Amino acid sequence: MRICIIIFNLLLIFRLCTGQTFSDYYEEGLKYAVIDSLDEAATCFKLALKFRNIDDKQARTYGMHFVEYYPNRELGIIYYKQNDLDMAINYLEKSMNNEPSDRAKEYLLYIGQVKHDLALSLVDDDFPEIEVFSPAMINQRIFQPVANHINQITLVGRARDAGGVFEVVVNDTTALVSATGDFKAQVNLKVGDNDIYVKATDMSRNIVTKSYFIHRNDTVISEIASLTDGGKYYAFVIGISDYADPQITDLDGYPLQDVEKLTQILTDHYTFTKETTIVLKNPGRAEIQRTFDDLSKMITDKDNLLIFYAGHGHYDEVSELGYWLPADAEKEYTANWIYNDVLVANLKRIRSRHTLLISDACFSGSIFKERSIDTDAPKAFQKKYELKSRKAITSGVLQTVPNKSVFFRYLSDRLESNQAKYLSASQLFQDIEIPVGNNSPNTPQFGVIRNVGDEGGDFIFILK
Amino acid sequence: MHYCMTFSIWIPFVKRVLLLSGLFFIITPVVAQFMHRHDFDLDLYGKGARAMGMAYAFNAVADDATALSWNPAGIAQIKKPELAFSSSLKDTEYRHASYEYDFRPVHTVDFLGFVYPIKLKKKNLAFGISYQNKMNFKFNYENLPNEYSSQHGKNTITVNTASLSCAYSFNRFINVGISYNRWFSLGNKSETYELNYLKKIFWREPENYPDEYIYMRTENHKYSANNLTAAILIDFSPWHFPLRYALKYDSKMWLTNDNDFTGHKEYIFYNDADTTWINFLQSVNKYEYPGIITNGLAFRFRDYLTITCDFDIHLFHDNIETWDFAHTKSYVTDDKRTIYVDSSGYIESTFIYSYIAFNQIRLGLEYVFHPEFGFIPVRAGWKTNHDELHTYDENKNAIKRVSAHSINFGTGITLKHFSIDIAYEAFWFQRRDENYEIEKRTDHAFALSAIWYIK
Repeated sequence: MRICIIIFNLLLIFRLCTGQTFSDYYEEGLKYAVIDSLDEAATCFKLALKFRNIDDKQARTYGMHFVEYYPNRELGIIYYKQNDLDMAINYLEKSMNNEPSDRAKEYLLYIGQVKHDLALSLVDDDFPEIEVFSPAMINQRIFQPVANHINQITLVGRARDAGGVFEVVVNDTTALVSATGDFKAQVNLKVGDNDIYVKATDMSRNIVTKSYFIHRNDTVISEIASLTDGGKYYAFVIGISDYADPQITDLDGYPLQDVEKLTQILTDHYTFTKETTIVLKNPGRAEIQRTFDDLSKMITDKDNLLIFYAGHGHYDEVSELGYWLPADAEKEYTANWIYNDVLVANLKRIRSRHTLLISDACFSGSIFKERSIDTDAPKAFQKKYELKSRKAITSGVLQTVPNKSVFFRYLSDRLESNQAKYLSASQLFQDIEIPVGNNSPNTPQFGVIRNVGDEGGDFIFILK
Repeated sequence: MHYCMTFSIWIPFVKRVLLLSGLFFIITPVVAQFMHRHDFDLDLYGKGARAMGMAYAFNAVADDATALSWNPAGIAQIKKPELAFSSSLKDTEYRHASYEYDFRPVHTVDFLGFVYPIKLKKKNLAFGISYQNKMNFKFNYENLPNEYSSQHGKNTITVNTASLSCAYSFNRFINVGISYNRWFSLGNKSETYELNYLKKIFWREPENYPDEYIYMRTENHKYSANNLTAAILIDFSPWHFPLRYALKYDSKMWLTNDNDFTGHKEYIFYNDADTTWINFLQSVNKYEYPGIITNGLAFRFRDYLTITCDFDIHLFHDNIETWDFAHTKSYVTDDKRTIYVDSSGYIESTFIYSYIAFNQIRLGLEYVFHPEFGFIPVRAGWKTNHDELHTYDENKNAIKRVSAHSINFGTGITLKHFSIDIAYEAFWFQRRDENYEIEKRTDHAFALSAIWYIK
């Protein structure tokens, strides 16, 4: 004990030998505090307190010079910043007892609020829940990939907590939060993979963080260009409006208009040519089959094939089979109907690199009936192109679609307005899924046509 | 010079000279009172209205630029440059049992000082240069005229120092300082004395006395000396005990006064030729100034109330004054002749003031009010005083030299960049002179000082 006292006194004398006065240490501490050198500032304030331990509005230094001197208060603030709340209160209350000041009072209130919140957090241990509504999600954590040109998305969701939501932070940006916990935040995306962290804090400082993933598609222009060398883009466009069987309702010419428009879009905007675009208007079953046969002979494994069908479809609930109805189909007899299995068999015969079937017909979704939607993680264009694909976009699952197709309207709009050099089928689907769903009773579908050679690639539309 | 005179002329003229010589010695003590006023002066105070308001108990405070004149160690506390100026105005009331004089106020520039502090490894080092008035012999008087005489005189002599100072904060609680002081003087002195109706005064022998008598004297003094002041100031406030102790030593010195004196006496005879008697005197006077140790204490309550005390100890009780006369010549002339009367050549004498205590005590206090716009100090103090004149007992023995007191008051205002202070001192004494007659004097002194806190 005696040694400790001696050491303490020697240290004090050493400090005194610096010649610094209480005001020198105080002013030095203030300078450190301004630049957030908290440890150095605390040391200076403690030294100042050794020489003069009372806060004073006017502390005399020398002559008739007086300075403001609040070392207890400033040390309390340093402790507050270091999260040592008890020490902070101790010094701030000393300061208030010596010389009350607004600044000390303000920090005591801060500390009171923090302590109050901490006390609440001991009672309320329920964490808030986070739910995200938009953009569209592939599963609970993965958003649908976005096109390359989309560099920012708006994340919309809701955070729920019984005690109330204090704040929602998305990737370090505080989101706008409503009284009901609905939140909205802009998220910037880099090209490629993006992690999104949503942090919700309730009033008791319970915090929950959920991570999400979204892919912004890459361009990879040169690689795709090299891959497409020698490959052709074939389009087989079928539009059936007028049926021979009076029992089958005609479609008022809409499919034919759609076919014409699509053909124009494909040949004007994309790398389809008139020579490689086969348009059949109101064809019979044989004509369709003959065309498949021709295509199977023409198309090589470097070529790509887009098949578009607009017309009636049918789903037999007993046999669980889906059909296209050619122009010569009879309602009572299935001889001229085209089974999904026949369609699949034709697709299997065609050796294309990528085949995309777009079917704007009733019950067209039956082609996916036995399988789920593709939920694979997004891949880069190059990878998509390298791998073979056999995919389909359909206007509805197992429902009747309207004559004037909302699906086609958004499909054609998207294809026509696309400015990106490369547009994958999956991107195309993402872009039309929500508007079609919101504006019609149908839910478009996108997925793999099974057992025809899909390897996980994707059909890529290339702008001219 | 007319040394070849006939005997018939010589006899009456010499007789007149001898008579007039006697008259000179009768008249001289009348003006001697004021001759003494620039001999010894051991009240070597520092300057500044702040110190004056606290009755000069300032050695342990000494924390602004006026500290240069008090305690050089004090300037080590100063953190920014300061420039200080001080001047004073003194008015004297003098009453004597036989004579009355009317003194006019005299103004003196007391102090001009500049302190420049620097930081040296987190310690204060301060330099100072100053001009200080140390002894003030100024007066401007005339007696209250009556039918027999009139007298007036003016003295502008001041003894001053030019000082270079340096101080260092050795650590948080010990400051040391030293000053080199070069002493010099400014001004001169002249007095005129007139007597009328001398024949009435000397009615027994009216034919031998003049109708009028005029005496004029002028003096030039050149004082010079060198000495050092060393001081230490200890501050106990780091131990939460707001006491300060000052110890100062002013080194011993011999103050030399090269003095040129001219006395001019005119004896006016209405019915005969006038006679003029001229004295030339050159002398060197030396005054031994003892070393002085000053102890000072200051205690401060909560920054605002300061109580302070100084105690001066003069190290030598026997103080010596020597005269070295040379080239003393006297001439007497009338309208026809000039007689070389006297040439004393070389005279040396020594006078010792013995058994006289010069120690002095000073007490002061300062309270600072702090309204929003600045600081208003109020000050008061009391001190004992020396006086340079002897005080005599019934047997005409000098009995003591501490014979007076003063009370002081002061106030001022301090703003961010400057401070202005004023002070008033009432000083008085009463004594019996060498003729055992009552002599009273009261001085009213006012001081004004300003300090500029330079950024």
